[in-house]
Amino acid sequence: MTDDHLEDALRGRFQRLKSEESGTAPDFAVMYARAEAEAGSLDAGGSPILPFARPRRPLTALTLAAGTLAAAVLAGILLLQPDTQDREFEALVTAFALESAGWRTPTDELLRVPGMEMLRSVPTVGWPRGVVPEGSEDTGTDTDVMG
Amino acid sequence: MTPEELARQLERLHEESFGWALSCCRWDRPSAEDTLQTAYVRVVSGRARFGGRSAFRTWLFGVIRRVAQEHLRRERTRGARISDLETLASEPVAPVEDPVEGLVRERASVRLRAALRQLPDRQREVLHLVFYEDLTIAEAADVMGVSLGSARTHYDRGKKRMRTLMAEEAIP
Repeated sequence: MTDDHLEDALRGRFQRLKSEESGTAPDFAVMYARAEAEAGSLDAGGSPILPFARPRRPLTALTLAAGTLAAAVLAGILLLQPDTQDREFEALVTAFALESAGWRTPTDELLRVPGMEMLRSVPTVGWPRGVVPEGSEDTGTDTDVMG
Repeated sequence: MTPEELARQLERLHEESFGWALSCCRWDRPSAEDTLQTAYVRVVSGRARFGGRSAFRTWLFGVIRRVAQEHLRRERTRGARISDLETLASEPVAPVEDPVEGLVRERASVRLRAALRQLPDRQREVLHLVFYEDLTIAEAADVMGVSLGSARTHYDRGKKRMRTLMAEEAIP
């Protein structure tokens, strides 16, 4: 089939379809009257009422502001809300730390030897505070007395 | 354009507009009626305004096409699917004199529609506009909102595909 023949064939079939469909269209007067009525009932935003769609309400600034505020409040509540599980864990850790601070090993006493205090202090050079021999220019120090 | 003149123009093109709406809605009659009604509302309300840059018919067909696309998109979103059976059930049946001749002709039209449904939208549209609505390819391009070159490509591909389908299905 040549291109021209194909075009002729297609045109013939489409025209047959057209003649079949002619007279099947809905009544124009009814449709036009309905269109006029619907066009007259446009909402304030100018949106037409479509026969197959729910009319859309325009988003006002107030609606947007209220939505944003609600979202912010919700986010705040969620963020500030204490997590119960975290709290419980924190309490356990604190209790354990306090308990372990006062705990002594049973063999601690074995390390206590006579005169061990001497080992924990550092001897200093000079006189004890407040004991300054007469004639001495030494004003003394803030250090502890040895022993 | 005065409201009276607008009404006259719409009435003059009513049959063709409905045929175009049917094609845009893949011959689903209720959808085509909704589409045409909505297109009329847009035209009458001034939401779709004729600027005089093209022929009135070309412009009107463009409005109908846009409305049909929106309608189909909504239908798809809702998950509605038009089955072939439903579509066939809504096929308009023309009054016929000779039952045998009428049956053959009707069957041929049903097969033609079935073949057209297998084409991509653009190919189906350009073939319908050229062969059914007697528009030129340039006017069809205007309606479809594509360049002339693109419309020519869709036209050639559509014809080739129809040739194959007609051979396979033996569309008379």
